[in-house]
Amino acid sequence: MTHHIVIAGGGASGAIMAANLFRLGDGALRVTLVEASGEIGKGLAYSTTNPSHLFNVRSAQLSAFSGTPDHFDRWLAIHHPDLTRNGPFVPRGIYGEYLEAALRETAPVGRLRILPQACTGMRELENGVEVTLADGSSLPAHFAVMATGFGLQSDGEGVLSNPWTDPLPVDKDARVLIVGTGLTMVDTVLSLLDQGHRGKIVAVSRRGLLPQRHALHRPLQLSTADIPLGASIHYLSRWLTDLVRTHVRGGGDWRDVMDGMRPHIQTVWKNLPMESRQRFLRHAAAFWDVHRHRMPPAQAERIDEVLASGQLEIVKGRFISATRHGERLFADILRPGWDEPGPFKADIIYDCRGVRRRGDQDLPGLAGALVETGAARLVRLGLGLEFDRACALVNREGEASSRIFGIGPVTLGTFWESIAVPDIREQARLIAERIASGGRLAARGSLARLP
Amino acid sequence: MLTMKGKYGLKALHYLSGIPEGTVAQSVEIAETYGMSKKFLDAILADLRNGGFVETRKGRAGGYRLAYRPEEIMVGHALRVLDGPLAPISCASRTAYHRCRDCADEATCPVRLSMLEVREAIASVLDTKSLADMRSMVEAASLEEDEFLEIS
Repeated sequence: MTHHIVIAGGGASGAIMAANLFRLGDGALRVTLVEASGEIGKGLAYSTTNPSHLFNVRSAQLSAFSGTPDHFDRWLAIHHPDLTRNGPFVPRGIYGEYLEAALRETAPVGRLRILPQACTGMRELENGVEVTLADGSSLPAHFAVMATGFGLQSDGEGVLSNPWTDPLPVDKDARVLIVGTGLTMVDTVLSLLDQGHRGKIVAVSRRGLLPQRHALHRPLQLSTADIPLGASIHYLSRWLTDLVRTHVRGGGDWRDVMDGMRPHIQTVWKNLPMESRQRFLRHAAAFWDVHRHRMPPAQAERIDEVLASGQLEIVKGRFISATRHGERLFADILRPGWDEPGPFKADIIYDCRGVRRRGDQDLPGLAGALVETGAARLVRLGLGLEFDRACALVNREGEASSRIFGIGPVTLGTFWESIAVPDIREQARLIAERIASGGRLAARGSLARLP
Repeated sequence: MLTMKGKYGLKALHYLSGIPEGTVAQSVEIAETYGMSKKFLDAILADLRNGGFVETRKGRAGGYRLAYRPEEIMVGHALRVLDGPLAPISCASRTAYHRCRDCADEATCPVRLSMLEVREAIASVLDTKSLADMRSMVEAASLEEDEFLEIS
């Protein structure tokens, strides 16, 4: 029987999902990618055209298929041999082109349809899924996959500019405030510098931590048997710092330990007690993220330059709100030790806060609609939708769907880490294999068991 | 490697998984039940507390209890806090690594390569076995023993 699979969202996650379905399926399937922009593989992360916006993982880790780890590198060598000369960190803007090529390579003629529409709902029926679209029509499918990305609200506060979609200031001397000091801030600063910005740039975050920089890649070979699963965050963080200390004393680098942890992060998160997760979010997540999600050296050098010249300043403080008075914007920022927030003048303010959601926000779009109908529910800390370990959507009653799955950042709330390509392609493999077996769960085939 | 500490620790957790909810057990009663030294047991319970698996209540009516329900505590997780990484031989772990003194070439050592696989197997058994599962195993075994005694 020919299965029809609808994928909601045609960004990198959706495209990797489709390519894996074709590659791992038995050929008897049709896939519809529902993507409002009509563009494939160019979601939040990969729609940039600025060559300064680099991947923060190496090209060797970017294959769309876990079974063929050098798939991306081989494509790169043929189509962009010039880019490989600048080291292992290549511009993100080419990933959409690669994913399109991967789809052309794997999808048999006439089996893949791209629908320039928005997906508004999914309803599980006895033998399939009814997927509803923004124009009121619906698609019948055997299986559906949510690949809707981070689900960030497009414009939250009106006064704040979106670094991904809003234009850069025309005035090269404009005073720029950036809320957030992570990798999105880094990209925004580089964009400003690329177009010759001369004005002062201030970036503010509660801890004022900058992402660390990449160095040589020599991950420590860790096994789950080494890691204290299930222990409190207090115990776990002490174990990790001890391990780093011992490793560094032996001539290693702390990054080797972080990179060795990478494949186990979902397992660690799943086993972390609920209070420990809360504690981690409150006290340690910011520190974790700057060590885990690092800057390629080329970017770090340019950031160091503008920090040294004083054009870029990192300020510790909590952003409260922003208001407009005529041409000028004023941000209220609560600095450490201050009783009241002080106003901060700027010509433009970019919202570069993290992609991690907090429980007090409503989910937009498809995810919100599914929560409303009871087809989905939030995980206990409200970080996002709940999925089971095999990426199946969990409904209000706590039952895992046998027909609706999630891949990529939409599953972030459940797995903590599902942004990077190596995680996403692993999810794609798991879902594709499950769909190929008619929706039955392969024995022991869960993410948690992967090495 | 399963040490005395690991063995006693698991027995203590087994004991704590059997006390009524809302109550605590004193270390002396656990020590007496299994014939361990109380001093050693106190050190073990301190480690388990440090790892977040047991809680203490202070004072005259004080004692130890599990921090979570017995279904939520995995044997393998507690064992890592007691004995370190799950590894049948110390060169099979990166974190508690010790090279064997008589080792010529670790990378091709047949024993080490086999033990690397064994530790994954240990983890897959013990990380899915909860204290509640351990209780039912014990109950099933004591039932069998009772039957055997009746027949003989």
